Amino acid sequence: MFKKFLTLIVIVGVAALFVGCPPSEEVIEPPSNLTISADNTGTMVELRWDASPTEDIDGYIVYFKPINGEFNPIDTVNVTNYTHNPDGLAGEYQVTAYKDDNESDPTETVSSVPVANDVVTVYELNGAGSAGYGWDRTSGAGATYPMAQAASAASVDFYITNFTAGVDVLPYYIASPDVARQSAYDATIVPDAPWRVNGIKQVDGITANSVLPQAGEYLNFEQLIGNVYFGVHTEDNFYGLIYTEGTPNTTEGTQDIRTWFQLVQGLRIINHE
Amino acid sequence: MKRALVLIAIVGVVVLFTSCKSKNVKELEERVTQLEAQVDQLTNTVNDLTQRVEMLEETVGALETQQQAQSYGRRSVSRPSGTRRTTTKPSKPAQPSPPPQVGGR
Repeated sequence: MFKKFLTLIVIVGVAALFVGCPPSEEVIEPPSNLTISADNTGTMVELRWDASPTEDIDGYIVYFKPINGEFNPIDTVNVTNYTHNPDGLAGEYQVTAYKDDNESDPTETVSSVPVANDVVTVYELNGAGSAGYGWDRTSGAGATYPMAQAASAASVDFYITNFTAGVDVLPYYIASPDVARQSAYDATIVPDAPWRVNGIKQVDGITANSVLPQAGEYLNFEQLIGNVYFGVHTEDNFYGLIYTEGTPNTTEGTQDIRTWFQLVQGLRIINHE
Repeated sequence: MKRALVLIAIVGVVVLFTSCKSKNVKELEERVTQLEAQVDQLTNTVNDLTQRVEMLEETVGALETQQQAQSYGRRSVSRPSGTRRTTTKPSKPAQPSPPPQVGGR
């Protein structure tokens, strides 16, 4: 009897010598399909994801990485959605699943950081180049478009005009595309087409963490002033920001601008530094 | 022979417990280090936000002071009396004629 017991102990001991300590961590599968959207105020971020396939997890950890910052946990939840008030900060989000002290790999990253576009020259409607400018709804990239072509109507979010002949008459204006057909002079150049009905608003004193004004506070056009920010609210509920780089060149009929575009529909967060 | 087997068994069991324990201790130490780093980052974030709030409060205070000064200035301005000018206007170049400016967008 003692001999059998001893043999068993010997086998266990030798096995332990070769195998070592068994793995203590359980593999937890991450959640998937993380999506980002705006709440109805346009200032808060709503995250949704599909549950982790691992059974009996304790919940999910939501991570936020502000611009120029690092990923840090901001909350734990036991549901598959989360609403974050970032106080005007744009950033990136990830979610992990956890159980006891074990945590899964993170989901793919989603972002509320606006897409920044480099300086580009836009022409007054009578200038030698394109007067229209618009943002791609998938990439956020900005580009100029000729207002004299009806095909541009599907792409233009604003244009620059002085509502009269020649390029040497000030002031210039930043106008919603649909205004072109309401101006007696501009309508002689811009063809009839389904031009977007957007809003423009000068936003003095906007800081890096400011949010843009809400829909309903925008005008059909604003007078163009140099070195000033203008907010844009599009008819399909996207928000953009324009900075007029320098003042208009009334010889060439040009204005340099930089822009930012928020790809999350309805989100007014527009960090631009 | 029997003593040798007993010795091997004891060594095996000791190794089993020692390796498990040291592994768990090491994992816990790494976790504590990660948590300490996260606490430091959160502390920095809080300090940064506190500074921003203080700056915003100062800005609001300055704007309120400026607004009060402007409203006082408007009250004290009075239109001087005088006669209407009869000079004719010089001719001007073509002026922009924008459509009506409307909001609500």
